[in-house]
Amino acid sequence: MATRVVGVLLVLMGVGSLVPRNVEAARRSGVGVRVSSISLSSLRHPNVETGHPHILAIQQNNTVSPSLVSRLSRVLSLRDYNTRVVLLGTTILGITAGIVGTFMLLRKRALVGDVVGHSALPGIAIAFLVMEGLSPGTGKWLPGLLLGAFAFGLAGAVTVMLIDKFSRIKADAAMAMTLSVFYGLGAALFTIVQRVPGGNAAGLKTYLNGKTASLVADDVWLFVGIATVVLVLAMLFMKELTILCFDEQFAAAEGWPVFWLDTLLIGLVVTVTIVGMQSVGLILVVATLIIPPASARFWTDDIRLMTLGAGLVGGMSSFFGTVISALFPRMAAGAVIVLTGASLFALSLLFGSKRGVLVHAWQQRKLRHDVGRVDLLRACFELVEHAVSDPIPTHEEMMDHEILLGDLVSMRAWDLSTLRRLVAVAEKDGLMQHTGDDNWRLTETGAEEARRIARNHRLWEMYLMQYAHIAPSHVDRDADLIEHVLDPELIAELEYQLDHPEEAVPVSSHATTGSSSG
Amino acid sequence: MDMRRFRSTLMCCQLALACSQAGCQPAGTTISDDHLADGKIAIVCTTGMVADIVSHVAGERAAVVALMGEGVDPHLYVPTGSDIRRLQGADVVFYSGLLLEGQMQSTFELMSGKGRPVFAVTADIPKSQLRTPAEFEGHPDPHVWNDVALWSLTVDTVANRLGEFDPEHAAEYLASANVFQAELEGLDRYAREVIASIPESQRYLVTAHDAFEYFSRSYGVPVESVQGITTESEPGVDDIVRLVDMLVTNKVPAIFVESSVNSANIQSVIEGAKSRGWDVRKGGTLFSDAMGPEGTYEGTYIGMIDHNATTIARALGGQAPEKGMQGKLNRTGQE
Amino acid sequence: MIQEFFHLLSGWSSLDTAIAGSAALTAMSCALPGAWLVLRKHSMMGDALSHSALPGVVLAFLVAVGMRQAGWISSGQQDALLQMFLFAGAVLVGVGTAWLTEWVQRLGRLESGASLGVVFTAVFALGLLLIRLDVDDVHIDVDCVLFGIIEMAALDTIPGTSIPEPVLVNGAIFVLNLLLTVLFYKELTLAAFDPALATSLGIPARGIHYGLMAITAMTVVAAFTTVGSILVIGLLIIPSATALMFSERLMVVLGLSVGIAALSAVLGHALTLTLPRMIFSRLGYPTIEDAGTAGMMSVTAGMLFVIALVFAPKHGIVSKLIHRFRLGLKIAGDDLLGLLFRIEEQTAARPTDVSVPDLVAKQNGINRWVMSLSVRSLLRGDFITRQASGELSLTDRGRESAKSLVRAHRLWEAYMAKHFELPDDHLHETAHRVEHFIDDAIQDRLQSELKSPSKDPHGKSIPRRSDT
Repeated sequence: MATRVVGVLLVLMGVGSLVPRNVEAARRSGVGVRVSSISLSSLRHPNVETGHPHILAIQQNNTVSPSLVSRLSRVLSLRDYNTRVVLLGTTILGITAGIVGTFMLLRKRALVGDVVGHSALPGIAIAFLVMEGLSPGTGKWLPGLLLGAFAFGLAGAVTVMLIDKFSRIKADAAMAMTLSVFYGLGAALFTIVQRVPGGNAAGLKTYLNGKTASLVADDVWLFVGIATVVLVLAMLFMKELTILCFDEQFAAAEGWPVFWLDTLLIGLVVTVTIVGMQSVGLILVVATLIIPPASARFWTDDIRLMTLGAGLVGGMSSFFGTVISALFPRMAAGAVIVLTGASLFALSLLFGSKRGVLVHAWQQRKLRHDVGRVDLLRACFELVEHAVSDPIPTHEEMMDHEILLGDLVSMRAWDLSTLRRLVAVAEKDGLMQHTGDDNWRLTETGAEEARRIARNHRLWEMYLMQYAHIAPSHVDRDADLIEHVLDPELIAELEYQLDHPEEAVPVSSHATTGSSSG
Repeated sequence: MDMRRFRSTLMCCQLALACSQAGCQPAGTTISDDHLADGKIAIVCTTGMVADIVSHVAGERAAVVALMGEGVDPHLYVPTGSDIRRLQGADVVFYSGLLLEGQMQSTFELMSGKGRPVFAVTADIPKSQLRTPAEFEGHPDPHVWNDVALWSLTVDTVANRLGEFDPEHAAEYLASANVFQAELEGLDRYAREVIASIPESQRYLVTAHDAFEYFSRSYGVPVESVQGITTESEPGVDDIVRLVDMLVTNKVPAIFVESSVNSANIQSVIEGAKSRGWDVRKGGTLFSDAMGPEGTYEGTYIGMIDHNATTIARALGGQAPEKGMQGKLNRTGQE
Repeated sequence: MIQEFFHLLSGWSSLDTAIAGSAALTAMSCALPGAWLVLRKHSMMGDALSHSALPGVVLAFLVAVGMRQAGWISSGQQDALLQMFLFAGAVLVGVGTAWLTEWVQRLGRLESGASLGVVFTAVFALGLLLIRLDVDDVHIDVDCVLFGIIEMAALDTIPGTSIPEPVLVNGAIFVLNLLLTVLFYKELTLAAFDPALATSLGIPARGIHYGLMAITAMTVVAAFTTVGSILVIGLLIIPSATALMFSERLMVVLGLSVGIAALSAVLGHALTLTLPRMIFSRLGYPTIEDAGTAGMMSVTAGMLFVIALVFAPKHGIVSKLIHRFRLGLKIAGDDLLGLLFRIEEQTAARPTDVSVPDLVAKQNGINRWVMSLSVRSLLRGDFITRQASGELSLTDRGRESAKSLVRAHRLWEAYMAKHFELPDDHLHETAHRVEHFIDDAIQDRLQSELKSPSKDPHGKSIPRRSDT
């Protein structure tokens, strides 16, 4: 059992390549235990102890399975109807839900699928009551129940939209409220339904919650139809939907039919949710509406690419999930697909090229590195500036001057160990060279760089003082932050505006000694 | 501090209400008084199967009410205030037990601990006869009624408990229990016969969810299901493919729908087999967790089992009268 | 109908008091963390926790079974401890879910709904997979093994008293939450609204978020086990959202949401006893006596929210409509005064055929009915008079008011013309829109900024203030 749990955790952690081996091991260990007849599978067939011949036959069916490779080829060749249908159906649904979900995610309504699924409950109860009332015994007619579910799912989504629009309550609270009120109404109605005489209401509550592995061809055709509609609409209204997602107020002010676009989106979400719910189960639909777009978000900021990426992730998790579920016994299809999606999410979270954790950490590190270097060199410049007689040190003076760490440390709010680390990095970058104990000198490039940085900084200070009316005591801190992002064009612009000759470093507009304002 | 204030508030509420009620009896206390007035014991049962036994044993001596009507899933039944009032007002309460009633069971145990006559009908079934998954001790499969011989044991329990509650008529209860058990024996024999008439190679019971393990064990028909016991339980693709393999290899003629599970779940298995050139029929709807409509033959315990056994036997190519053991079945069970 | 309502309500017994009381206290215990969830945009947390309970109970069950198999506990002990295990499992996985959500949100810089959605669907799927793999033979539905039913919970009285257990358990949690809120009020507020400031003040904002999530998860799961998930999800968020319709002040919102939670519970149970029977007896189902209390309480809370949404004094729809209507009336009146003033200025342009109000209404797209209401109010306020011929003209008072308006309009045009290079024909539109909101003080500032101009860009003279 423990190995199984580990196997499941591995799927979740996204260690995709390890999974088959682990689950395979778990399965084999299960076979091993079966000999002593207390395994799980044998529990499901307790007659194994009574020795009924047919049951042994089933056991053999279950246990004597071909090798992983041959099973894989059986799955991938799509020889079995069920594998074929589930693979195709979930992949199409994954792509469709991924695309619709992108817009919902950007509208900050990622969880609306969950709301729709739960809001459908009273619809099912009411449809049942109405049909039973019209003609007893017909209460479980599926199209009728679906209609009720769709009507209330839509009502739920529209309620969220209305609360969001007409009150100061945010979308997330609107969703939570709608979900709980509709679901509560459904729960109350179900206690009534189970008491209505003549109604065979058993299982009604989960009646519309399908099982992923039980997909049939008709479901797939339905998915194909919905996918076509979604793709066509998404392509037709890409621009409008993009504006709606990023700047609703702008869209409204520009005269876009915001209300109808919103309604269109909600209609799509409700359709995908209800159709998906009755065929593959609610949890899978909710997950495919959220996980693929959330994963795609880490790779791009462009909504078009994000839509494509979400479709891709949705399709991939469905595909791989289904393959895993078809390869190993007792891997609940919907759950495995969700977990595969979650693994892809975890990978995107880590490695995403745009907002991924590693990229972000690297950028942060680089920024810190740059900031440290700039601070160090500017401090050096100021140190030399104080030491030489002429207000602005020349290039040679910069290079010749011996810099003592003891002097440097008083220039900024840093301690000696931080400073040593910065200097060490600068040495590696070829900006400074070691000349004795705590004595350092700027290299050719270092001196050049120090002059450039000091110049940028002071230009910026002057710009701020001249145009933004900032008191001199506040100037330096702002300038410190901004000089790291100054680009050459902006510097040219500043020089032009401040009428400064090129290359010369202007005199600082405030005192440069002391560590606090530095 | 806070608690005390709250308690006094509670008391105030009660007082105010008591005053406003002047003349109007609270609903909860009236039921038992009424029944005692006409000399009957007020018995509340949870499921229809339990109520059926109790009615047979108690006969005219008791007014039996089942909380869960036909077609109710006992696992997920949600009691309301009126149910609780009924329980509070009952003279005797019988429930199925083995966690069939889910959360209600702990309350029943609590009531029983306070000395109220609240009994689980399955309490006296020997543990060894219960189908308990080896790893999950203490969690036996509660669907005991699908094995008639085992369910027949609960008749004794009911008769004994009723006799203790009403010693005057104890002998009478035992006598009617014996009569009913004889009937059940006939039912058990019938089920055994009709299932045994199914050609051995086709003797597989394939259903949507795992509720027929007792039936399988006692009547010798191996059972395979699409999903496990828990409502949330979900099959994998491989599980479905294996099931299809099994149906095709053994040429099983029919699989069965349950009244409480969406038949779409079983459709995929049928279509899967069809794609391999084997036509599996839907053998009919079985009653798994609840009996049929009230007032019909299927709405009794005997009718329910008769229906299940007859439907299974006929669909799988066995010999069984179309109208069942007593010629009373309303439907043939074929779809 | 009302009589029937009270007749049905008169069946209220001590059981009903116990149910309503348990529900009210549970709701109150949830209202405090709920308010923070709303403020931190984590409102769907309740729903997420109700899903994460599934893997919680499955894991706990497996652990209990594993411990028995390893011989650490006997099977009797296992039975005795199982309920505690299940509860602990649900709480732990709940806290884990809340933390993971917080972590993914921070690390991935995602919107909270998205991180919540990713985490809870994955955790739930894990539960599903575990069920299928390991416990397919046990009925382990959370509705069966963990989540309570409020009506039954009311029966579980503490031995020797008539106090239901949930009153004690959830009451204690309520007191604890209240205490924590009072103790850490400043820290919680800062961490919720300005994490950066909180950190700079030495308050560990991140730690507070994680702590808050843990306490929320515990409160919510504890409430699940006594009164069920439906009631908790409902009464976690709705009371706070309703309170937010009434006030912006945090203290008031917290207090109100606790009160609304209790009210929803009690009123909800009263409606349970009455509404279903009243409705379904008319539909021909005389056997329906009541419905599930939890669901009805959620619905009641929802109805209270709708009432607040419509009628709340400041943010309600009605009050907003009234405000907008008043503004419309004022603008219509202003426009009329302005036009009358301009007509006086330039008598040549006096319209002969059309009445002035109609003209104003037509030019500015103002509803005729609003216009006539506004004329009536101007007449009553002695800003205009109706002459014998039926024409309207300004009174002295009206002229003063109109002058100020036209002055504001033309000053604004002059200001816009000076500072923004807008074509002349664009000036009028914006000036027309803002003229109603430029009071004397702003007029004076505009005037001094523009060095007291006498003409607007169109060459029309800017009227002087009469008192200068």
